[in-house]
Amino acid sequence: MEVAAKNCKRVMVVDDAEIDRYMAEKIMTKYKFAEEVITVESAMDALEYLTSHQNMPDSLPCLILLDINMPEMSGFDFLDEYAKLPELVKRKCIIVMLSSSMLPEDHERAMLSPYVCDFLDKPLNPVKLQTVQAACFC
Amino acid sequence: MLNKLLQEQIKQHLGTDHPVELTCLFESISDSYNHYQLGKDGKADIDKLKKEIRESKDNNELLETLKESINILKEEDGAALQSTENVQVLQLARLLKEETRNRRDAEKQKLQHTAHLNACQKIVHIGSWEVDALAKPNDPHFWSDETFRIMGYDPGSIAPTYTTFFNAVHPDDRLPVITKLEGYYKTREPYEIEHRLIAKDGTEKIVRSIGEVIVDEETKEPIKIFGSLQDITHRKKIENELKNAHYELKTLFQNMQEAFYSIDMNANVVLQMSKACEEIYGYSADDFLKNVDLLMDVILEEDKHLIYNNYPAMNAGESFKQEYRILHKNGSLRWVEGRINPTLKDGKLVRLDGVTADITKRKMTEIALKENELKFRTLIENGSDGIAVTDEKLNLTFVSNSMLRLTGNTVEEMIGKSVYGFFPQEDMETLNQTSKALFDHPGVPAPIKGKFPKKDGTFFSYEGFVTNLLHDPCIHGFVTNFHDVTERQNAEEALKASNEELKKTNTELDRFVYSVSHDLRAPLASILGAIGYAETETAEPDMLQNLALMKRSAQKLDGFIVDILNYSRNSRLEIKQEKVDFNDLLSDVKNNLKYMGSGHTSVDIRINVNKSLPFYSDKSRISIVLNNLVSNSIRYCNPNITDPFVEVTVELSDSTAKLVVKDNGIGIDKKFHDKIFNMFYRLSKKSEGSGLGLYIVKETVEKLQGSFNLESEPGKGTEFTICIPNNNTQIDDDGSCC
Repeated sequence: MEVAAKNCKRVMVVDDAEIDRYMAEKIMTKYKFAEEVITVESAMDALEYLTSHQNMPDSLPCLILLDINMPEMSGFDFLDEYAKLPELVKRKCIIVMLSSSMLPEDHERAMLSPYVCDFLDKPLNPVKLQTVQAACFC
Repeated sequence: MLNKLLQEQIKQHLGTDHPVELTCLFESISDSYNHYQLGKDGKADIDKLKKEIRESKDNNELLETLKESINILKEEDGAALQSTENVQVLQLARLLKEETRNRRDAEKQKLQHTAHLNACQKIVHIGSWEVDALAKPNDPHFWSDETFRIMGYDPGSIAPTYTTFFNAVHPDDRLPVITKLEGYYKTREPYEIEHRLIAKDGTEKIVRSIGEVIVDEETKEPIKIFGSLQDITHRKKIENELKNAHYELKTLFQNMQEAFYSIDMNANVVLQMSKACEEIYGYSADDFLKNVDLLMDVILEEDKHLIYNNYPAMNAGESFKQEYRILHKNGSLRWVEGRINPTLKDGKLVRLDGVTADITKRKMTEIALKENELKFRTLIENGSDGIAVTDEKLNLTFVSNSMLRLTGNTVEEMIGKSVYGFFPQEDMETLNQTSKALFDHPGVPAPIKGKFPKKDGTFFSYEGFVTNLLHDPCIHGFVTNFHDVTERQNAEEALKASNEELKKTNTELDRFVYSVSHDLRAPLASILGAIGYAETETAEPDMLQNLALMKRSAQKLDGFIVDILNYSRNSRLEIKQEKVDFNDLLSDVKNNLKYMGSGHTSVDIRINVNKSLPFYSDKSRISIVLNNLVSNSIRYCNPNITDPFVEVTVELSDSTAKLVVKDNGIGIDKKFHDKIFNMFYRLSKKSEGSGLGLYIVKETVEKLQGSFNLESEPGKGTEFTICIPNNNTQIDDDGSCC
């Protein structure tokens, strides 16, 4: 079974939990969701990556799977900073929240961001990848 | 006339040639002439007279004429000269002179008398009148000057008649006057009558009229009627006034509510006692007149000393006033006020004049008033409420003890001081606004609250009302009632603070529960993710079964965490009023539950929302309810049928939302219907639930002031009906649409 994202070569996973980064990479690779999976363990690392590649559109991820509950800088803090990035970057990237948060407020807040396309409950599985594919790349 | 006659005779008889001896005659004649003619033709021309006499030719004729003259004069005296008497001319002239002198003197005297009489009449206001007895009504009357004046005329200005007089008599008095006069004509007795008359100028006078008839000595026939008219208006007026005053005094004395009495201290008897004593003491005036001691006996034994105390003053001639109680004859107790005025003679008490007034009513009112005032004062002084009164300039005129207690001030530190001086600067504007409102709306209490400084520099909080009672004659000021709310306010503040604290704690707890649950759920999700991935990596049946067991346990644990989370959320969080879109909400529910794991995926979730009406309630709570019910339907679907489904129908109205969750699952036996909503109650042994789901549903629906109903039959399915009020309408519906 393949759930390849159309026109999406690179996916970035932002999660402090190593197992989740690992599983996400495994699943996406297995189902050939993307050619390349970049995993970062913090929002800061993600921002740094995006900033350092802002002039290289080809190196930017087309999808960012963003955890909410992370130490130091949460997923929402990331969204605030992300808003300050150049248009080029933002036009290239689609953000999908991936969290185990049950807070309805979290869900609502995330969906209010113009950059967030979908909100997924952990764990990630092929069915959910299909949802993303349907919701964000069609 | 006599003089003219003389003059003519002399002229006729003496001619120009006359003897020297006639000089005296000239003088006499001119004297007579002067006497009669004075003031008419001026002094007689003696020279002319002398000449005329000298020219007279016939001395005898002169002599006769002189004789005749003297006789005329002497006729009245009856001493006429006989014509035969040989009298010398000179002698005659002397006689004539003498007679003329006598007459002149008599005339003078008479004039003097008349003037005297007139003056007398004027002084005593008595006029006189005279009339012929047979005079007719319009025949002339003689009136004295004073009579003229009494009648309102200038003396001599009219010719008075009886009619003039009668017309002046007051119309109401004419009959008695006529009666009296007629009677008088008959009896000829002197008469006397007092009557009114209207003077010419219209003033009414009272006169006393006295009349007397002068009768001819011989014939006994009336000749003249003579009378007097006395103006007694003034006297009568005084008399009347005196009479009235006397009458009034008498009436007063008898009708006064005070008892007046006099005591002769020498004889030790009551001289007089007014009628009022009957009312005051119950004893008659006679009782007192007979027994001088009664006045003292009626005084209440314990009040007698009050009178004794006044004895020294009384003996010194000083009047005194004393309130005391007496025992009325009927046995009742009365308060009286006695005023006693002693009279001393040679330093000795001889007489007492006293007045006793019944003051029971006044005294009772006074006592009642005093008691009332005392009561109110006690209330005001002992009440915890502070009371302050200010005048129109907001200067304090009264402060209650409680206010002094609250502020720690003394009376001197507050009375007369402006209230502005007590309030802190920042309160001035409020104070001005309040006083303006008070001036604008007299009688309307204005609420006040704030902090008032104590003497020690601290403040107390007050709350109360100020009322403008400037118009009230008793108060004439602003009245402030207030109470110390410091403690209450402190308690309120403490309560508020602890409430805030509690809220904070609650929020923190909520946050904590979430954090913990997240920290619990996150690894569980990871585990589930790993298990899910592992399942796809192997075809080994044993391995798959093991993984499935692991997965179920992990899911159960996750469900448990979610339930606890929902429970805690429902019990603590406030109910929100937000717009609920059931289509959105149900599609979320559907999305949440479609990965409920293998074996359940085949359950069809159907959604029916009848119409789109604005509905306001707590979205997340409704979501919890629906999630629980739908997940139950999925969890307990009938494995033996081919088309398991769960159908959620929403019927919206202005007042409620009716939610029906219907499935064709395994159903619940009626005997468990009551129990399944209990906390931690689990029906199925193979249940994957926490035993909290339906309990949370029940609690949440109750929290939303809704109602629910369960219909279920084993093997057929289950139908939950929930009604939730629409808070848009603000109608406090109990949601009992089921």
